Amino acid sequence: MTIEKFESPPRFAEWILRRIYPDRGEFTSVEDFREEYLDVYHSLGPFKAKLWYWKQIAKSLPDFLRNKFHWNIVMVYNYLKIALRNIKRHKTFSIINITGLVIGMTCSILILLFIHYELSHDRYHENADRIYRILIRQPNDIYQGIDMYSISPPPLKAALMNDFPEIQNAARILKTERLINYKNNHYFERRFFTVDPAFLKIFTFPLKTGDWETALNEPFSILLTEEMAEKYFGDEDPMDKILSVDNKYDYKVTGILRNVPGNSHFQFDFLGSFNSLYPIYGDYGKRFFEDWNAYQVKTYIQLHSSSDSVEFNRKFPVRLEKYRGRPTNDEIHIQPLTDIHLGGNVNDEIEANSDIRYVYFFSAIALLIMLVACFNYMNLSTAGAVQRMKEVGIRKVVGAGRNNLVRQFLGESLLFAFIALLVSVLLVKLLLPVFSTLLEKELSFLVFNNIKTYSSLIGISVFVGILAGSYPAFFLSSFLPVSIIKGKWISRKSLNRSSGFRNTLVVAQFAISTALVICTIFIHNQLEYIRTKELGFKKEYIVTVPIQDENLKKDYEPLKHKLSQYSKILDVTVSNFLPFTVENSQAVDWDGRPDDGPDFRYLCVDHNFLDFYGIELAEGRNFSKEIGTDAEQAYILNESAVSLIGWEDPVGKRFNCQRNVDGQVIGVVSNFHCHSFHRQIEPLVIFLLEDSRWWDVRYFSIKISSADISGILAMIEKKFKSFSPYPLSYSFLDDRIDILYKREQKLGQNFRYFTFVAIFIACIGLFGLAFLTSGQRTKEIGIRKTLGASVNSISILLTKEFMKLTSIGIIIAFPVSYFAMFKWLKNFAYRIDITWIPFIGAVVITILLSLGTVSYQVFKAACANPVDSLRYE
Amino acid sequence: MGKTKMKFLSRPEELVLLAVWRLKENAYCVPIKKQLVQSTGHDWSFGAVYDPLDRLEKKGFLESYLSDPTAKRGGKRKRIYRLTPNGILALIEIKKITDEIWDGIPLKTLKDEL
Repeated sequence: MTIEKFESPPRFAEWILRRIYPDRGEFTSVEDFREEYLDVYHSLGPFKAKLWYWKQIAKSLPDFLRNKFHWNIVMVYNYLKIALRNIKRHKTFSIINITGLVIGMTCSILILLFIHYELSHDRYHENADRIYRILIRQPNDIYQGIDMYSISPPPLKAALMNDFPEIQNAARILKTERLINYKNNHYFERRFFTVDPAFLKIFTFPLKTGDWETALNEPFSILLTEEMAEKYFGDEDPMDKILSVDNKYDYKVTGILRNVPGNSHFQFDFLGSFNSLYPIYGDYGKRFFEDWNAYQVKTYIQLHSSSDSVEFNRKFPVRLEKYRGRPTNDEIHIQPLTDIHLGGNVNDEIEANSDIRYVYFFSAIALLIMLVACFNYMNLSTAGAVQRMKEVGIRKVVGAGRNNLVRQFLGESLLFAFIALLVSVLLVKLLLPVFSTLLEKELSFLVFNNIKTYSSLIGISVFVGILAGSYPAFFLSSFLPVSIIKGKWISRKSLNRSSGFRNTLVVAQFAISTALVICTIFIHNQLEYIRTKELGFKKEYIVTVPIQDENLKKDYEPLKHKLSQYSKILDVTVSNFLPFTVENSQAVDWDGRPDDGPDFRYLCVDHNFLDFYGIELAEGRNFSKEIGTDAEQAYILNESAVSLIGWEDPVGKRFNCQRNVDGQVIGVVSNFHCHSFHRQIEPLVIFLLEDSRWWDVRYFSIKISSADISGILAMIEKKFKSFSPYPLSYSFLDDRIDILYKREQKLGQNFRYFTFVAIFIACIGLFGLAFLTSGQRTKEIGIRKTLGASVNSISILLTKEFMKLTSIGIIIAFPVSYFAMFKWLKNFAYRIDITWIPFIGAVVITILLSLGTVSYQVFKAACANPVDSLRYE
Repeated sequence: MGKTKMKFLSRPEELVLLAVWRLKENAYCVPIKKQLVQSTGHDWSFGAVYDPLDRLEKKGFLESYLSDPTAKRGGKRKRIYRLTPNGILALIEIKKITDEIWDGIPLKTLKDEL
């Protein structure tokens, strides 16, 4: 007889049955039920049979559940009780353990927040994955070591939209600095964007008031952020008010924007409508919009949602020649919006970008700190295992399997991890403002208000719990009950193995910490080197003032004269760049210049510039007012330029830098650092400012006496005010130089903090270990002492072991940190040598710290009266 | 029984042991259960049968093996039990003890006391 389909018992019920009776081999029990079911089926009919079957299941379920869960819960409850008891009983040990984890977690969470912030840049735009930025590559024009430019010519937008049907919207951004005035409150605004109306369609910048579709359509429309609305209008309603721009043009406010989020690769305060430029530029405007040479605007495009972005990407780069009509090597590239912030800088970025390498770097630090903290836990728990051995033995005797014990100890470390998590979250909340200012980022804990972050927090602690708990669990559960209970503790072999493992962990911790210390010292030295290196020019007591006012640029002499009259102002000079940021270059010409010869950086200066900055002449003479031809025909080169050209005797040689009349080299200056230490000093040409190049008047440099600085600054401000309506912004030259290395300085600072944390955790671990081992060796020490060992010899005996571990860690740290620093220092064209001194310094620091950490415990153990430790034998 | 005292069996265990002996080659769960239902008049659940079976097997009175697949169970195998020598000894012991306890007590006397 075969079972027909309708005769088989209810499937679901049978499924349950299989779950409940899984242990009966080949489910013979299920078959038993089936057989009985068939009997009932044949005698009482299908309905009764089904009912019978279900009744069987219902009867067995309660017991099943009881066995399955109830006992588990009882066990978990017991584990929890024991764990809490242990925490309470071994307070020092538990506090050390949890502190290590808390510090590790706090650091990691902070760093993760930072990483999250960095990665979140520009992702809040609805169309973020379909927005691209146009880059132009100018293969012949390498600026700051990069030939990619974020600026493109204005007509490119229309040309691209015409040629690529995939493009849905495109917008140009022209960033300018404007003087804005409302009711005679003048402010000089640096974050003024002039944009196409499509800007608001491409990017998601919500308007608080106003209509985003039409807000930028009319000429002279302006949108401002909430912050700016507050600044200019206070309580007034800004809508439809008139803002005066550059004291010439009246813009009407057509909307208020929400403030731009901090995680945007550009920041702006004002959006002016692009077509305002036609009336502003007048006749030039027409040319400007058609000018393929006017690399001034930034172009962003957004693709249709239906278009294939991979296919679109493949079409680039495109040669610009096709549009420009004149031969050029320039290429059009596209860059996804979300890659911009972490893609490093191209030229002419609106804001300095970050670098994906920094994200990697910080992730590595977070991971290392976390590892050190986990090692700590593993170490202490295995070292403290003796305290738990009897428990393990008893548990095994009453029937706990190895997996029960593994589960118990893993659960315990999870408990520790969760306690640590709670404390760290509180700490993070407290520390976040400090950390944010440290990084100058607006990190916020608000990102924590979603499931994702909660789950990742829990993820962290589970990760930590399992990582930290795995070895102790494995180790503790391996004890043999017989030997434990017989009092033999554990076999020599397994004890050795575990202490071997523990020692490895300590070594790893100290390797990591020492490597971090060595790196910190190197970074610090390099940064100090940069800070104090002779720049080749003077930088003290020099106030620099950027000039924006066109009228002042055209006629600066009277102001310069006025300023020089003041006795506390020692000297005044004017130039296009400050001597440490000479970045623009121009085509130059000399006899015998190869066709592909490079452009030179150039400085346009006043007669007294070289004297002012104390830049030394290596050869020839300085510019002179007496020699009339100097104004148009005199050039001074730096040594790099001379050696590039290859002149033996440069003075008097023909030279020209885009002027109608050929000039000659009148002198050579010693190399000075005209850009950051990341790069070698490049060829530079210096010539005098002339009236026809008034726009090159960009900076006033004012040398002041060291007394009464604030009085002098006030005076300077007054003088400027009398010449120009523009608000004055000044800064000290050395501050500005420091800004160049801010990123490195920040890095150095952060590195120092995290190094401190790592070494602190490692020391906590060492302390704990010393605490436990000296406790375990009390008797040994007592016996040694009764046999005549001195406090000294015992201290040395105990310390020696720890020092051995630390030393091995240090030795491992050497090559690792050497290579890391070798790579980092390669970023700098001018750098310190890798000497032994930082290594030795780090060794001294680490040894001293670890000695200090263990000494208390060791001393206490060594001083203990043997009578006390041996009393119970 | 001389040297080893008999391990006491619970009543269900005793009944199951006996049922397995009775059924011989056919001693798997379903008939055992039927047998028990028949002789005791109680409704035995499978669980109530498996339990003593397991215990008896652990105590070494029973052993089990999987039968060849049978057509009746759709090609599935069943777990057949049989007595071990120890099991038979146990049955003998039970029988002996029971007889001894009941020796000289006719059913009629008991009924009269009602």
